[in-house]
Amino acid sequence: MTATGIGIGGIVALFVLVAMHIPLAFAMIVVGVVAFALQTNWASALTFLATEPSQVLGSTDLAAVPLFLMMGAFVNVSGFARDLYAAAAALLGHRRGGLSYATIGGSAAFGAICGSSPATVATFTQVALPEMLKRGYSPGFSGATIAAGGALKALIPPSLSMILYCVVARTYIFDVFIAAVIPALITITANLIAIAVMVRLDPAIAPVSERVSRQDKHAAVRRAAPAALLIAIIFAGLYSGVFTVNEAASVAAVVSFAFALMRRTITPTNLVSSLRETALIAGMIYFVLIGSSIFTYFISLAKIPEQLIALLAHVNLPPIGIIVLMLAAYLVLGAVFDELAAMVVTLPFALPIIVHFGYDPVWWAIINVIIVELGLVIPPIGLVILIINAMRPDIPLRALYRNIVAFVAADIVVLALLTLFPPLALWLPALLRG
Amino acid sequence: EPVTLKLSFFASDTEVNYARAIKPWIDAVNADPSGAVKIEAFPNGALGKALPAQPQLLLDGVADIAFVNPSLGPGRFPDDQVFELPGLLQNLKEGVKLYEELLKANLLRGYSDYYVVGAFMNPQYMVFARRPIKSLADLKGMKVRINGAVIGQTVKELGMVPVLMPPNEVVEAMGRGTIDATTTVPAAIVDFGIDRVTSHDYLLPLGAGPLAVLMNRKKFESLPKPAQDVIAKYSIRWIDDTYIRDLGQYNDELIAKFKADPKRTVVAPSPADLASLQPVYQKVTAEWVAKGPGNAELLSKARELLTRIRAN
Amino acid sequence: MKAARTIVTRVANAFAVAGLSLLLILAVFTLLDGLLRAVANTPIDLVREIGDMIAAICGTCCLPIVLLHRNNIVLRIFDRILPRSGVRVIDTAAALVIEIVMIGMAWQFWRFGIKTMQAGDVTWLLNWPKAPFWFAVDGILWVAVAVQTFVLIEEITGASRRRDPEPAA
Ligand code: NA
Ligand code: NA
Repeated sequence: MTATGIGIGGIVALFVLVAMHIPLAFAMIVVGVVAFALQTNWASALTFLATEPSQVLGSTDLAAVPLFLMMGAFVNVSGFARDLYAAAAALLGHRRGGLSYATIGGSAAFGAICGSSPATVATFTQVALPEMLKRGYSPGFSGATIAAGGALKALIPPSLSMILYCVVARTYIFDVFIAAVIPALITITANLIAIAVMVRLDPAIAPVSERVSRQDKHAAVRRAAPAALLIAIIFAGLYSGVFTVNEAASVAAVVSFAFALMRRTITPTNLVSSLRETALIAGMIYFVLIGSSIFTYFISLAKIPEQLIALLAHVNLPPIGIIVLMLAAYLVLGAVFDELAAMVVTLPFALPIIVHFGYDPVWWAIINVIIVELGLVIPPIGLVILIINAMRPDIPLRALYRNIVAFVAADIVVLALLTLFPPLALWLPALLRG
Repeated sequence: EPVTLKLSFFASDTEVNYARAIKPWIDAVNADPSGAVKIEAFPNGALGKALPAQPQLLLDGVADIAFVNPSLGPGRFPDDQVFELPGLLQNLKEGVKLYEELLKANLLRGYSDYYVVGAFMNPQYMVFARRPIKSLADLKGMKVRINGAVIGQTVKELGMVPVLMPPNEVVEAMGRGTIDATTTVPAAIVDFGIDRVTSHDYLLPLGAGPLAVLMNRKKFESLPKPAQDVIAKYSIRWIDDTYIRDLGQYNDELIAKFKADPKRTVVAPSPADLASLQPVYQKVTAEWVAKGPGNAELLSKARELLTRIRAN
Repeated sequence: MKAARTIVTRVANAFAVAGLSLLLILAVFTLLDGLLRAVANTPIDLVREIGDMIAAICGTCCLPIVLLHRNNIVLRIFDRILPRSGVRVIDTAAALVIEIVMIGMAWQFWRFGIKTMQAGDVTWLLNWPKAPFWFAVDGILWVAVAVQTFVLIEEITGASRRRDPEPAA
């Protein structure tokens, strides 16, 4: 069989298997092993079933995933999200839309000590949503703010999306964490502007509430001090140079566990449930990465990146046109899989193209993460929207999706800015590298 | 109809061992007038990105030929530590010759499943640091990345703090101050971008490490005679001479470039420091000899061969 | 079936909790290693020597519970297209594919352990054999096979209730 034949056959097979309710990870494993076996022999191809899992499971870089997830679970148990939100609300609550600003700010801060977007959203749906509804905020607007804040988390280190990208793309995690700083600040600002515009256009969605007394403000800020301290420790650990990234993940898990112990909020019961929840997500990610690494053999054997590059060279698009084309492809694929899975599946094809056209894999990481962020809130699989809807069925999906539009627009503006000005992401890591 | 063989290279096709020795070998074999063999190259880790896993990948039949770093499998190639002994080898060329001779005399365990296509030797490992090193005394207390047990013992004796670390983590760890220095060869400094984060090179000879291009022996023996002949024609002598010439030159060029670079300082140990190194080297060597029953004999054989190589 | 589910659930939970507790302990040692290296210039070699294999054991412990909860990313196209019986056939076939892959993995890992042993693979500084760690991973993979066997039986007998996937980002 020719390389092109195997390439087309393998991709069709992947889609058929996925359509037959076979998990993405297992479909990738089957296609990778069978494609290699057809080209060589079964005995060799089957060894991937051990060699690739041994690499994925034995990666200390990847161990950062369960460690950061554990941190999120412990922090959740400690009630840090509530403290952070309460402090932000006390400071900003009297402005129009103040609780929405507080939600974005609180989510961003909480994101720094929690590994995952769904966890951030689930937490803020419990913590922030009742407060906003109580003060007369519109349900759709409140839910959309929480979704935007949770999706934003993908851009705030430590971020699982970034770790996954770096493991698959073999990029330095720390470079990507640093590169995310300016884009994250821009995105936060863009989200705040989106809120300002929305409340200006329709003041009824966010009534002004009373100013909080100076005393209460101080009390709220004091209560948030331990959470702020934890954020400071995690950031110091991540950026000081004392620890490598996988060591920083260990620090994060251990220190957040220690905080939970000190606050006496951790019990045997919620410890067990925290670890169980962590295992469910970490194990799922391990399966996807095992699948992706076996699938990569199919891609290299069929020489798919080379063929795609040849094809693109033939079409004679300018590089920026190719980037836009790939962005569109991601959003379409993201409608079928979720965007994170789409990233893991396509990275082995996409990265050689990016590098071939002279772009920096670190920059592409940030672009990918913003697409993942977008994918979390846009239909049909807007994961964080679905989570809010599942937790609060009284807020209709339609209202959530209608109110998310302004935030999506903000993200697209950020995406355009980064595509046109890559130094927004690359300047800081280059500066620190010296 | 030529026999097609898959060659695995764990890293980028711009890596110097690939670009300057393995790629020329592939081209030579493929261009051989007999047309008996076609090597299909899979660089960039397409058949496996983990360097330590390459020997097993050959046995599993995933690839037929692969670039192997025997030092990374201290159990699989237990005798190769002899090359790491500090002070044994003086240059890359005699290292390659010694490796060839020891293989020919069947004195290195672990190679029986493989047909040796190429037997290379790294130039001396040296110290590359982010802080100035003017003399041996400056090494004390420095956290240094090591890549093998013997070298770890040597730097420990010199008062350094060895930290075990794969090469791809070095830049990050160095840039952030997790480590102060790394032991490695000049080529790796460029290949892994370590030149971004180090600026002080100390030409302290710390032993060398073998590198090999291996083929699955069963696969080799199953080939038709003309194919075997083509492989044999370009194995060892042809590829090793290419390696000695091009990599030796490249290594010298790099050191010259580092010296000319205003942002780097290159310091060679003073005669007094070199003299004070001798007892350390002897101690490390004696400890290694005491570690294994066959080590003493292997070392004396290696020294005997080296005397002969140097005489030629 | 209900009693069986209780037992399988307990086993999968126990492995998840044990694996991640072990990872937390490894994290404590990693933290100490980093601190001692930075402050006292005395890293703990053991952490870097066997950390990756301990991480592998911890990671593998997370797999059985994912299979039991069917928490992998699945695209459930036929739920709204086919009648329930048809969906059950497809889900059973999918569970069978997972079972076959898991058996393949556990079997190949056993061979991987043997090959590691035969090659005499050891850690860098301490010369500890690596094979026992990989056999431990293989043992956990066989537990995952057992869990998936239970899931498969649930699908065949129709005892399973459908669960929505909940991927993360
Ligand atoms: Na974060
Ligand atoms: Na989506």
